[in-house]
Amino acid sequence: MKNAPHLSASIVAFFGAVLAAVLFVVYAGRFEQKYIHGVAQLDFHQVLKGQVLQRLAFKQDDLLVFYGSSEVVLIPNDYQAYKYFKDYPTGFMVFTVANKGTSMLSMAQDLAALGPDMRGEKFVVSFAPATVTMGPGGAMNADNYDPNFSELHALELTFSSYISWETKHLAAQRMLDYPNTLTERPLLKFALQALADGSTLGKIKYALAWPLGKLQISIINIQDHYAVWDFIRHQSTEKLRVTRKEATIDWGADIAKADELQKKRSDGNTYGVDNDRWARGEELMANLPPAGSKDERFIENVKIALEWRDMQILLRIVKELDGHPLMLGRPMNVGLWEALGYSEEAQNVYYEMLHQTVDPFGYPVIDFKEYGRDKYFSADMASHSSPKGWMYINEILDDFYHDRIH
Amino acid sequence: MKSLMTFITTVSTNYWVRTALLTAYYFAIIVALILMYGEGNFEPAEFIYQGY
Repeated sequence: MKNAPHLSASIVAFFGAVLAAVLFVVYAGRFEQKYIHGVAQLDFHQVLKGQVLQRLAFKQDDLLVFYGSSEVVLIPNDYQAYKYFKDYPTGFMVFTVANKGTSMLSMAQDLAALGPDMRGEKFVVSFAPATVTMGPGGAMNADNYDPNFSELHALELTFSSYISWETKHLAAQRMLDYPNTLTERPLLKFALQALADGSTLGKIKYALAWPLGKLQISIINIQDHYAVWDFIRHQSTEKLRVTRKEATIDWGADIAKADELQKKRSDGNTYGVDNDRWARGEELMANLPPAGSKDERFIENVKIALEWRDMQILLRIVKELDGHPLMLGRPMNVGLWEALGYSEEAQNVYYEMLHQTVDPFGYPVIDFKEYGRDKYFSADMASHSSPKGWMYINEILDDFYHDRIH
Repeated sequence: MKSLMTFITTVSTNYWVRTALLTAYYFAIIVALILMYGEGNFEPAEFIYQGY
């Protein structure tokens, strides 16, 4: 080594940097643990594509992790679960991981990233009919999928040691349908193509990419810790303060209050749609088609929707990681859709397909179909939840957390 | 000035001091690279509402 001073110095510097990174991760882990309950009551949008917080939230007995899409976050109101359960009235709080435009395929990657941390844990997967009934091809289009794409989640799924080759193969086929997310990620693209290929050559290519994939995951994990640490330290103590007030919830009274509120919010139309979201409905109502005239195409589209395939991928991942999810749907606004030419029988095909997809896995499904005629459950045509809808959801969440739903 | 030159010469010819300085130099390069390129982005890009 005396003849190669630069080599020895660079090796020592490299291992010094690795040690510094390890020490930082340990420190950040303790810091995050201290504030995880405070973060649960915040909008932590800036770090949503990481996994540090989710992993930690899964380990807390009093946090129920709640995955979802726009039905969870598009219409802010005081009845959203993360506000309603803020003071842990019945002993738990909801940890919401949701963004507008999140698809089943995005959530599948997100869940895969948890790996063994999911084992035996309860959590909620929320979804609305709109992706199936209104999305092109019955799936999220690239304009929605791409902004929600997380390189970390995708790499974790691709190189997971806990998920079967067959499931990764199915996921890779779908992930390759969104090429924009892979153009600047040659390693991920290479590995996904190898997985999707499935041949012996594909398996060899995947094995060659595996060490690099794992290395990249380790680096992004450190970045994730840094991003979360930086996010938390910029929050005020007041925002991070957690209050716990045990209380008995009068579900009937709160549902009645939320019902009144939604009536006021939608008093400009007869379909229960929020006044500020009625413009599109009004446009559609100007030229109403004959009753049931759109059934045939609707049924065909719902049956072949890609979102079912993605839901199956998600459920396979959850099964292989031994998670215990509640699949939480939303009802269609039956009256509104009927007026637009879709009969109730046709709308029911959505629920049939939902159960056909989930039931074989044996997980509980709440579809809220019985509230299809309650026009105040949703705030718009796409089943984004209204305050009243949230109250029914909150009651279900409480039942699920307290083991009254299996 | 002469004593400074003597000090630099002594330092640069001492194996341990030279290695320590080189280590600090390479460590600084690694830190600089991390600062320049190491920050990840975990925020979803702006949402384009699809009119659902």
